[in-house]
Amino acid sequence: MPSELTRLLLPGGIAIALAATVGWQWSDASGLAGERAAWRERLAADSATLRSARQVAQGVTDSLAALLDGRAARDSASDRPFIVISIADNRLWYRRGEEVLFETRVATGSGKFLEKTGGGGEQWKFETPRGRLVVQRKDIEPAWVPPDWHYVEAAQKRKLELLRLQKGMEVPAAAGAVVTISGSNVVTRYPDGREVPFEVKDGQEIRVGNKLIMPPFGTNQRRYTGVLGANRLYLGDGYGIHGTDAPWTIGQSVSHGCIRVRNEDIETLFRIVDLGTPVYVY
Amino acid sequence: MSPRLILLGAVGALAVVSAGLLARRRALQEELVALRAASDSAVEAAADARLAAEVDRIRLALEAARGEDAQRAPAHLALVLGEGLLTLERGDIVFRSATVQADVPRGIHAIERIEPRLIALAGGLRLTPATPSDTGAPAAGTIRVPRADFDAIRPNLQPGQMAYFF
Repeated sequence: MPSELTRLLLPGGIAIALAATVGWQWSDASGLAGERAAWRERLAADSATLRSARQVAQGVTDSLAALLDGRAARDSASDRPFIVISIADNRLWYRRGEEVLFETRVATGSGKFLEKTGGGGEQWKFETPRGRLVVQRKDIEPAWVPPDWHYVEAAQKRKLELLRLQKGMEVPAAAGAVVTISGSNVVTRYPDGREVPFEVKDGQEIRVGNKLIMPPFGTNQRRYTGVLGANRLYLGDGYGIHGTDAPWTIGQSVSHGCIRVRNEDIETLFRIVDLGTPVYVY
Repeated sequence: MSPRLILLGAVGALAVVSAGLLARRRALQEELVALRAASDSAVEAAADARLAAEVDRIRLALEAARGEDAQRAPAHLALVLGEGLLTLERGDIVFRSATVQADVPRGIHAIERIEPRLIALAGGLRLTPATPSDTGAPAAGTIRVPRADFDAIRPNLQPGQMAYFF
């Protein structure tokens, strides 16, 4: 009997150990199967999220493509040139889309201030306006009609008193003559009745004693010729792109707000730029 | 049948079952690895799709701004983050381009405040002029713009105008 028991011990022990192993393996496999089921669910959810994200992305991409197609069609239909002016760089570009048709240096507003007459703390600021302007008029041999600030500035520079001349006013001058308005001229009227119109230009304004005379608008003495070059592209509100009799100022911020270019450049621009062309100043 | 034979038979049967379970375990583990990888890949692809949608959404808004009539459209900024390219635009006209250093998130941001050396955007983001002492990457939320470009861009912006980063 003991020897029979001994012969059963080894296979019995192995059987018990195997049974324990199989039990653990079963439990482990069940656990893994549970984990697999959870991951399958998670994958299904992730796949659904992915499909949804892709659908949304595709929708946005389609909208973008449609917008770009529409823009391309519109751009080709209205491929209109325009002017861009950089105040910071004192530079002008005449462009069609990205293509630069003409490029040159300019002078733009100085950004300086000038006190207005009459007190009140009001000031002129000499800056080129930013934003979108339009070529409203193309002028040949443009004359400059100086705004009031020109005379205020000239009087201040020369330490003279500013006098706004009006119709009917007579300003006593030397030898019994008077400075007055006759027709469309500011004239010196001598005691014998002779009238001599003033000839003026920038820097040579009418001066009587310690007074600098500001002629009224509409008189010939309120028009300077030859200072704006051969042409001007008028942009409205007194601003324009024009030539200059001071070419050394080009490339600097020195103007009173207009955009100055060299005389040969304004002739080119006058030739190639159409009326209605947008001008973007930035 | 002798008990010993029964035990040996049981051992054999258990060994077969154990081997089967071992094989099933290996198969389950391999399947789990594949499922995890597929799930990770799906999550990653969904994140990519969301990012692509976000970039396209910003571009869509930007293109809509670019497509506006330049007469009415205010100026805006656009920043291509991958290229570090900042542009000042109005309608579909690009006025100025500048290469910048940026550490800002994608998105559409309104300009809140403009100062001589700062353009502050919603969300605490900011454009600043680069200085010679600047080294290394800019601080989080900052776009460092070359001085000349900053000075040229700043006067053209107003609070409420938009910046598109994509």
